[in-house]
Amino acid sequence: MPLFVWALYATALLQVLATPVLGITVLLVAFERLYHIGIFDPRLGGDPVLFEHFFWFYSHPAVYIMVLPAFGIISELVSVHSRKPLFGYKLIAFSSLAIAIISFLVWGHHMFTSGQSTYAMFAFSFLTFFVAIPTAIKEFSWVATIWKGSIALNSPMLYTLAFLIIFAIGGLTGVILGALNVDLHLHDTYFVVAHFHYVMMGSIALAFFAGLHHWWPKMFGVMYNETLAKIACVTIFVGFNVTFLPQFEMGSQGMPRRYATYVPEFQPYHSASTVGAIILGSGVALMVSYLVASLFIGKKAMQNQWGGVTLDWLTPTPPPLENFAHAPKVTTEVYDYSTLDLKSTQTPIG
Amino acid sequence: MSHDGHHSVVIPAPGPEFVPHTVAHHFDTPVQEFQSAKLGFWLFLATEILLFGGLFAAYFYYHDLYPETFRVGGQQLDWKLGAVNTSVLLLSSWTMAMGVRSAQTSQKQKTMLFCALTVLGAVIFMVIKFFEYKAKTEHGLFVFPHMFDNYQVDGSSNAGSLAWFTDVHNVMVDETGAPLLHGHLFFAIYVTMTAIHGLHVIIGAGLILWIMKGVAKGRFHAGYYLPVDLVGLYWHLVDLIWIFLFPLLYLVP
Amino acid sequence: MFTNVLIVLLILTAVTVIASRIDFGPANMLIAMLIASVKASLVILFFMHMKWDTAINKIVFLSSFLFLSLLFIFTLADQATRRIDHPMHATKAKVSKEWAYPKPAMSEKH
Repeated sequence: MPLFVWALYATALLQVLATPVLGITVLLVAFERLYHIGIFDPRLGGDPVLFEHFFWFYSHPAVYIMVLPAFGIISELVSVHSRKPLFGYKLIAFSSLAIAIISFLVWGHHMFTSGQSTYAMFAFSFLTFFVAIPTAIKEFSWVATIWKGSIALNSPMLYTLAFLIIFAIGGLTGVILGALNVDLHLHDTYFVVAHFHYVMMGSIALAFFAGLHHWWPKMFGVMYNETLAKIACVTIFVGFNVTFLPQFEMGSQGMPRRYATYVPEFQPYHSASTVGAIILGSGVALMVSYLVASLFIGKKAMQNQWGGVTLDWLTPTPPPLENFAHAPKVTTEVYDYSTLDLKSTQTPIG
Repeated sequence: MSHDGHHSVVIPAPGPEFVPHTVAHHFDTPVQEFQSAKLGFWLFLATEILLFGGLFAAYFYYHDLYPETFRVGGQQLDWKLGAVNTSVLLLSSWTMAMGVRSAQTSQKQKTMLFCALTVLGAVIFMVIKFFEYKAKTEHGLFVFPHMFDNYQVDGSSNAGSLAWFTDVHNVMVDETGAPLLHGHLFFAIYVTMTAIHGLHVIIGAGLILWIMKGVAKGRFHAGYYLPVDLVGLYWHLVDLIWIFLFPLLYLVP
Repeated sequence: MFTNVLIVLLILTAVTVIASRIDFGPANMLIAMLIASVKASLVILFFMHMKWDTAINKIVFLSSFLFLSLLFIFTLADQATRRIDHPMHATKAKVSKEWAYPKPAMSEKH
């Protein structure tokens, strides 16, 4: 089964189990406001920390709901653009499930300064280190997949490589924040902001852009301007890092989150972030424009633009209702590139 | 299997009082349809467990924080009514299981009868619940008409008075007669949990009525009893939740 | 067979009520929940046909309890161990927690 499908299974597991707790939390908050039951209001005997427990029991798995599909996309892309089967296929598949399960054990690391019991905090910090392990397995497996592959440095691959670098930083800073003693200082500072932007924007959004570029020819039958795509990718990468890298330093020096005014010492960092944001924004704007333009003036894409061997590349373009006329029979290994029909990578659609 | 000329799979009716069932076009076989629907429904039941589970977590949390309040509060609930309600729901679970079995064996009248008995159980449950809530209002432990009134806060001390908790008979007190800490909290949680459960009872009863409509038309038989089965699962879940609610709220204190 | 299960369930309900009359101290909650779990298992296995169902359905439903227990364990553990380090509040006296939740100046009755 392609690893994107494994990633979606794990995501579905998280969605089914975590979202109802969000539902009941929101319902209880509504009741609290409507008829003052006192479940979270300290004036009425309630405990706001209980609200935090309920909220983060959902919200931590929620971030994995967001990131697991991104991991799935990257797994597919590194394989296709290195034309090599994934290194550690089983490891990556099971690590998706491991992330899904372990992510339910760590929610307290968002509450280290909330006033919960020290012993609970020890437990949460300890368990947070474990959730990094399956993620690291994925990161290293992807790099090992690229090693000695037939690497095509096209735009989806550039986005993927950017992801691998940015996610490494994002993931590692997450582990730093998971350490209880360090987090007591970094909680609610720009260090946290930088961390989650590295994983949310730098990783999830970049993986989304990578997937967009990768499957664009399959979805719309046209190719975008590859040169512009490469320029946009580099611009986004540079802009992103200029925006968010200074925020790590700023946060560790104490700049809090959600403050409109701050001491002059932090001004250079904020200015750097602003400049970076402008660069990042122009990169994204460029990306959107050539993608939209390709719908009108794009060249016809090839039937199998990148030479993938998974089922998504065997449907016609655009895929008809239910994708295939008959349910396809899969007889080969999932990333077996010996089955690749090279002619299809050179034959335009239609 | 799709729209390339293949005919959809039809399960024939086992008798003149039934109608045949056409398998939904995105399934290849009736067995696949059955298993997919069942899995989907069990996934939904898993989410319901987590939904109510959050309420139970809140209960355990505050029970641990205010043991006296919860002990005295629980004593205000009538355990006999609770026991009757438990038995009613257990019986209705039995009638529902029998109803599903009647559908599986193509016995139209029996299916109708058992479904009707299940709805009757739901109605009895809600009636008893109504009387329980009425008693709470009369004792000032949860005055429903004043539920949405504003919480009157007294300026500096953040103290206030809750419109719906008046404790007319002054029952929420400890041995010395001093008011218990946050006596309203027990009843707030009690009403929240039982009201959300009651909502599920009403929804379940509605679903069973919908099933009865289908039974009357002869849609459910040995070849296709899936909706009856799934609604039955929902009803058993409602019973399941009450099995835990009853001792927790009424008996442990 | 369903009838037999029903009879056992009704008997267990009676047992729950009788057991609640006896004070086992802190084990009260545990015993009540244990009996409830037995009743629940009967409903799940027989009325809900879980005994004859596919493995995946069993895993799906039972895993929800597993993850729910995680929510219970950590929130209760947090609550229970919160004041251990304060010697003054280490024991659970009856109305001892008011230091964290000051009593309202007015009582809560009209």
